[in-house]
Amino acid sequence: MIYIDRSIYIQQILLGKRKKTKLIYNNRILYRDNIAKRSYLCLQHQQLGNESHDLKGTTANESKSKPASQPAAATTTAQQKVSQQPPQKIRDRVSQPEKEPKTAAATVAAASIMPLFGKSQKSPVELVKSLKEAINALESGDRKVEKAQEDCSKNLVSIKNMLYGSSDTEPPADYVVAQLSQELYNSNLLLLLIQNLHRIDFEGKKHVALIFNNVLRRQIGTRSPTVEYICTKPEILFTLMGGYEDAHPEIALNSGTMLRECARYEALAKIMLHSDEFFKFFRYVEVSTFDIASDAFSTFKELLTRHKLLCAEFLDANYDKFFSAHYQRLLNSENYVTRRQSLKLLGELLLDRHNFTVMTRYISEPENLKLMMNMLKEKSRNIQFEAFHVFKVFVANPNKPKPILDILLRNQTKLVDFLTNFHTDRSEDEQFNDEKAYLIKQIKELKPLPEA
Amino acid sequence: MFSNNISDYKLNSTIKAGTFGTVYKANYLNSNKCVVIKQISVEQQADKVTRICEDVLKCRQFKHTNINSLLHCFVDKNYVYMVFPFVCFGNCQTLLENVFTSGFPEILIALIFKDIMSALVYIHSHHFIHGSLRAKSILLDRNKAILSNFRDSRSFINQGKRDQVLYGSTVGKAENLNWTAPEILYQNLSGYTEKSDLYSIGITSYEMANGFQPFLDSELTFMCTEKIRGNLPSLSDKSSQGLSSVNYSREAVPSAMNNQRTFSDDFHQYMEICLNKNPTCRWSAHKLMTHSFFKQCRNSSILDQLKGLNFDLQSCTYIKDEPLRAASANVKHLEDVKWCF
Repeated sequence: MIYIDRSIYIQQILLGKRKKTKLIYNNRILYRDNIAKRSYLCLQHQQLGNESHDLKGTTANESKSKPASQPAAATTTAQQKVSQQPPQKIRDRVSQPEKEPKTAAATVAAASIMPLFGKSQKSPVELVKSLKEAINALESGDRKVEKAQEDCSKNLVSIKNMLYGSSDTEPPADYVVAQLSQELYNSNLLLLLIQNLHRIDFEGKKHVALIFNNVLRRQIGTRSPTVEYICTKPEILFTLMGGYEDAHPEIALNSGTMLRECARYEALAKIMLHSDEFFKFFRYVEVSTFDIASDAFSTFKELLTRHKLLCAEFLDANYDKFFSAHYQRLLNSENYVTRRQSLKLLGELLLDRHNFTVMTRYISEPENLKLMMNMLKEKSRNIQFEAFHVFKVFVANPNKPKPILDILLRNQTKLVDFLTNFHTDRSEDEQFNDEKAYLIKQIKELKPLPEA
Repeated sequence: MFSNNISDYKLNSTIKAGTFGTVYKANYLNSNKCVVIKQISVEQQADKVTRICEDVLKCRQFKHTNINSLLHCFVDKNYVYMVFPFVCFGNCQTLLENVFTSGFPEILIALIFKDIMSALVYIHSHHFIHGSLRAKSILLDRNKAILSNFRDSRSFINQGKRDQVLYGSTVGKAENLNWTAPEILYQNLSGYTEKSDLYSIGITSYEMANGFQPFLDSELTFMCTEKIRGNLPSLSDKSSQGLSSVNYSREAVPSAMNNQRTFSDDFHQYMEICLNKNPTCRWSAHKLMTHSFFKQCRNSSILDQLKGLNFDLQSCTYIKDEPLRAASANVKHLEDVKWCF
């Protein structure tokens, strides 16, 4: 018999040759056999699981506060587990907010006693287990694909409802989420789901994204356990980034929502930025399928602008590869939307003060100036306008290198004329007009460098 | 799968040419499938382009037989093309203006709303609100009604959590205000839920039965106070003949026909349930599906009814077969300026 809680414990009785298990709650026998057995297994699993941070923490708490009063209650294995608590668990316990500790068994008991989750009475453990089986069946592609598909959708709906609450139930208690996430980590199901996203049906894909986003946001104090988990399994991120590949266009948008959620966390954004997969985005944002390209672009933009210091560091270290090799191609893209969006993003990146070193480098290269001057006279007025916002940085630079200065001087009068007639109808945009006047003044006053 | 090249589509006729974009009836040459193509210029301000992206992503959220699906979407030159399936009778507002000028027959309304309700159950079960239900958002195909226009739809799911109520203003939705539920008009702290869609359903039923929208010519404040007081617009039939209540209409519907017909008690009751000013008392879409108003749908279908009315594709001539005007690119050419590098 293992002691778990003041009121709940599981008894194992040997009845003849058959092993019977019962779950005892407040001195009443609630369940024999299967259900009690499952909760017992679940508890054992929790104790043995090597990554179960928070639940183990609470169990440890329980075990420590009570062992003296119930010394005979704990089996030797359980005691060993207790004595082997690594220091990390104590840290977890400290970081966890003070609240009623709920044990794994209590959760299971609650789930089994009351049909909390609508029709389904499955506990998180069972749900995760049967979803995993369904996914494996889908992956192996047996003849029972349809059955697997159906099981898969059913379990995904149950898990989603468990996390979000269905339309007539409240969102769930923390411990249900805790146990569910724990199971998801231990079973490696997140990766499995993402790898098989294209095999899951339309609604299922959306549910995967919803489940993922909810679990990702999970917090214990200042820690985000799911983020920590994904850091140890970066394949999840790489697989998600591969979701934009042409092979399965139907999963692109679902992968996109999950990726943007991940990009909110600096640790995950760092892994993504520094991966080889990141440079594939230059291809993804350029496809002519509008929805996929614009989704990919918003992810791309999120990665490059969300965490300023991280991005500045990244752009600085990868300047040549990023700007000369790849970004240049976006600016010359056939795709109008891509060209315009990337030009706008370029302006934002250069004008961000975190990216100062990158900007200085960019505006000292004459090739870039030429490109912007050509874009100033593009057909599209919006591209002209965005190009203006990059072009102004070249002119406003107080220490123009010689090649830049030469180009500007060579075109001095043309530029003054051009800018004077440039977008004259934007009379209500004060900032634009001020900047334009400033640029004209600067260009007029340009003087060649004194001969050294 | 559809191709990303506009030359693979044969544009037949213009269905609508608005400020937002042009809608064409077209054939996809590779499969000879009849589709509707919406052509939107992206040579617009940045925030409008963002809005287009959002709209497209919203269209991609749903897959249901009674929801208009976006088949494909691609960029070609300065335009975004959105490909939708062709729905033969177009939207119900156009039908009301051109064919059913004094309203749809009751049985057709029941059939249409049965389809719309099943779409609504689907949307609500995914924690979304449609937000702009009106006859214009309902398309009628040969054998089913289709819900479209998800531009104003909103989700309860926000940052990985589900909100219980939504808050929001009605700014920029002026054209839909007549259909808007009172709890949205309040804009107070208790917010609104998916029940607000049911109120819009009620107003839309009224619109479909009488042939015009309520509060058409009234002041916004009048419309608002009437809704808040719970003064319901009523169906105009025999029972409303004696009543001298305000009819919220442009010419008080003098047509003798309107006063001779009778709408069933079920229909009247159904309208009252939808237009309940207290959202908690309003039925959910799921429950409303079981209302006895929809009983009459049992032995009938939209196809049968339309046949019975001698209403077929040929009589639907309001889709003008105008010659296509060439997409004009009136952009000033600045290529004459030559930089010397």
